[in-house]
Amino acid sequence: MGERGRGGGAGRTGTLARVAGRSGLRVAEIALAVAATLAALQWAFRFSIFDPGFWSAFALPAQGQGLLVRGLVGTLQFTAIVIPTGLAFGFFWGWCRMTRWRVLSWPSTVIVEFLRGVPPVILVIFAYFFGTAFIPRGLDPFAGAVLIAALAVGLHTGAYQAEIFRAGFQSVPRGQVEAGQALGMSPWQVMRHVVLAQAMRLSLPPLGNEFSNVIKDTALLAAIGATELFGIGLEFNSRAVTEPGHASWLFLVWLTIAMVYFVLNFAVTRGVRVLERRVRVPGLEGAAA
Amino acid sequence: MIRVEGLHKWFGENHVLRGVDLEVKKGEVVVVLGPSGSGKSTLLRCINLLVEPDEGAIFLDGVRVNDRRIRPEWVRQQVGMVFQSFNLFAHLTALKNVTVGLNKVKKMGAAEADRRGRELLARVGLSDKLGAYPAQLSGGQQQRVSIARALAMEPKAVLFDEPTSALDPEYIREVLDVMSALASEGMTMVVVTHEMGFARNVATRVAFMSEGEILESGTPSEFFSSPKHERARAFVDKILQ
Repeated sequence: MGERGRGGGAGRTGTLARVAGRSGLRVAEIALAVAATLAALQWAFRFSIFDPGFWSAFALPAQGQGLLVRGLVGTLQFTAIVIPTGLAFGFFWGWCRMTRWRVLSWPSTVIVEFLRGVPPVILVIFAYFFGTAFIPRGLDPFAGAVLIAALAVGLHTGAYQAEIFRAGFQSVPRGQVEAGQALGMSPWQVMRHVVLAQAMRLSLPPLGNEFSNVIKDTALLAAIGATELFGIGLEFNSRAVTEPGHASWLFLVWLTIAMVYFVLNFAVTRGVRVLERRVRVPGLEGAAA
Repeated sequence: MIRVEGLHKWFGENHVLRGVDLEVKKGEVVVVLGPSGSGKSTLLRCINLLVEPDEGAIFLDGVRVNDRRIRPEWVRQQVGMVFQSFNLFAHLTALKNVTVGLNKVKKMGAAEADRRGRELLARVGLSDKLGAYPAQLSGGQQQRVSIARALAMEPKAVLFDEPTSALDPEYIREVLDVMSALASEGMTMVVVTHEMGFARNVATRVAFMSEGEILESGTPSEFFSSPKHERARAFVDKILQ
């Protein structure tokens, strides 16, 4: 990757300018549509997004860190744990599944099929209760259990990514590998400079999709009381229900959380798309793009 | 330079090579002819160990290469290969296709590799296509890039596996011209092809293969005017009709 011909730079700027021009027009349309929808919702459910009591209770309390900030930090932390874990295991299992060596491919197939076939929330609960044995001494037991539960989410997405990587590897024609071998490349060099360089390009679109799923899947950690966006939503929810006169906050809190998730996902999927465009090569777009 | 002795290869039940002997001297252009399925490609692929021989020996400059102590990479760095379907790296430009081996395998610096790559692409008449990706090139252009890629490694010999068979007729000439020029510069070549004009005019020797054996081998004029073996005669009659 990163091996590009000259002249790509100029083309890219041109594309960016075009995209910016198009989206400049769209931003106005979208803003109008959002404002209209919000007005209708506020009228129907009798809440106001400018409710100062809500914002100070949920996001900006007089003292200490707001719930929203704690939740957002938690979600970002878990995403930062889950995505690399998933990538590492996904890559490894995906590679194992396409090797000739049965000792590697067979166990990987079993693991991947199992992880894909079990609801991730159950994996989280299992990891929380039975992963404690793996917590290093000296670490806070709760924090350790949450960390292990987060790794379980990583394994789950890893199982899906394994299939993405396997498809990527298998889409590289045999002749490409032979050409690398014929140049005198070592198996590792063929893997890196030929197979990976091409498979990564083909895997990017589905990987972006999976990253977006991962962010949403961190919400499952609320099942064990971890601090992240969905969990703090539940916490605030129960508070708003018990305090009289704050029923309208229910809509507001979930709307806010949904929007935060949406923005995170949007940033990630757009980021992946920019990356796709940067490494695009004529003739290697792949069916998934 | 290349010596093959008693080579056997089975693909499952299929006995593809049945005791092949072949000697290629420095500067020779050996064209391997024969009906399809006679084991020509397998023979070439055994020489650079893309296919592992089951029996027999292959020597490169006197060193036995189908030996567990020899790394196949060491052999392949000295024997270039040009494939029927080009197999250019789809994610690299023409220039990068030529320089990737210099960079990664020979550990040559980028500037030096770049200079060599440009030189080689100029030699195959593609100076104006340095930045083009394989999908943007015609079949003939792709095959010329792949010849430049093989030459970049400064091989002792180049193996050509039906280099024009996948080409539209209008592109065959340009590839054969590059190969003829290469032959006249003294490159050692083993060429599997169905281009009889090339065999007749460029080959120093023709080897006729049928059913996994080399039945006869001689100068092109000998072979085409008076093939000795019955199957060789049938083959020549058929193609000269």
